[in-house]
Amino acid sequence: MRGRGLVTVTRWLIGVFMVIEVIIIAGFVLGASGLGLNLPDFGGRLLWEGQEVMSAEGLLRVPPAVDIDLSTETTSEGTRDASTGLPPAELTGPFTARVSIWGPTALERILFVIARIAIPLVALGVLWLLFGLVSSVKRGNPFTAENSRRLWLLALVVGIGGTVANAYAGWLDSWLISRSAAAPAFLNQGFVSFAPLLIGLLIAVLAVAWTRGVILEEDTEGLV
Amino acid sequence: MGGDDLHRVTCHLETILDARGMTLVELSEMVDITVANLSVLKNDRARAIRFSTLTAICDALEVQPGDLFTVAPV
Repeated sequence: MRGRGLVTVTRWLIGVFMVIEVIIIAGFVLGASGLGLNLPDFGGRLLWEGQEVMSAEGLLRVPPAVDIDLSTETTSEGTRDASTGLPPAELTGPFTARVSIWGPTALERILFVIARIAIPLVALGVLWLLFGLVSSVKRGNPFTAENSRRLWLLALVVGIGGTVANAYAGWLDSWLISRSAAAPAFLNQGFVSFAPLLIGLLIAVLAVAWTRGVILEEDTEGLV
Repeated sequence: MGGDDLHRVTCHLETILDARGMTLVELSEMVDITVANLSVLKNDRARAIRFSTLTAICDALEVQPGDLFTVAPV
């Protein structure tokens, strides 16, 4: 059946993404910002994000100096860029920058690794739940109480787990920058995305519909 | 006796088929219902039946629903 092939491919893809998430988590735990082990870089390409020096990203207080002339002039075709003749361009913020954190303390290492693996851990949990859901489709009976529980758990993991992981990562960057010599150059502002919460709510709505499907499935069992 | 504790309905499909010398496969072809579903009905494992299914079976066997099902006394 065509559907079975699609389900099989989806299971394999989920499996591949789960392996990738495990590698990312291992990279942060074992790499330069975690336990400090030397990870192979496969010919100079940093495939392990954890190999990079610990860094934090924040909003700059003032725009950085940019060596580009963006002055304009009035021409017969209207206002144009003085250098290129193209329509005028303007650089506006917010401007972000990364601060390298050299010689991190043990506390900074621990909190940094937790922040960096939080979202991959949430992703791993989501993929695990999706794998179970897709596997039940392969078995031919997706409308089960177990899948209904999986969807509710998925809603919680995405909605609450995703929001908390996102907020914590943002707080961690602000905290690291505030403890660095570059602190005066940054605004003490962070950004929290509520997209995971909205997605979690949508999944919860799907879970409500799925639970109804489970009831209908039970009602029609044995119907000829 | 019905196969479900929630009802006491008994299906007499096997008796009627035996009386007519008909098999489940032959009935399946006449009423366009799968052998699996007819088997569920015959073995009292059905929990519900669509009116369309009941009509098709009654037409094929020339019986009434009361000939096909009875409710066992308490």
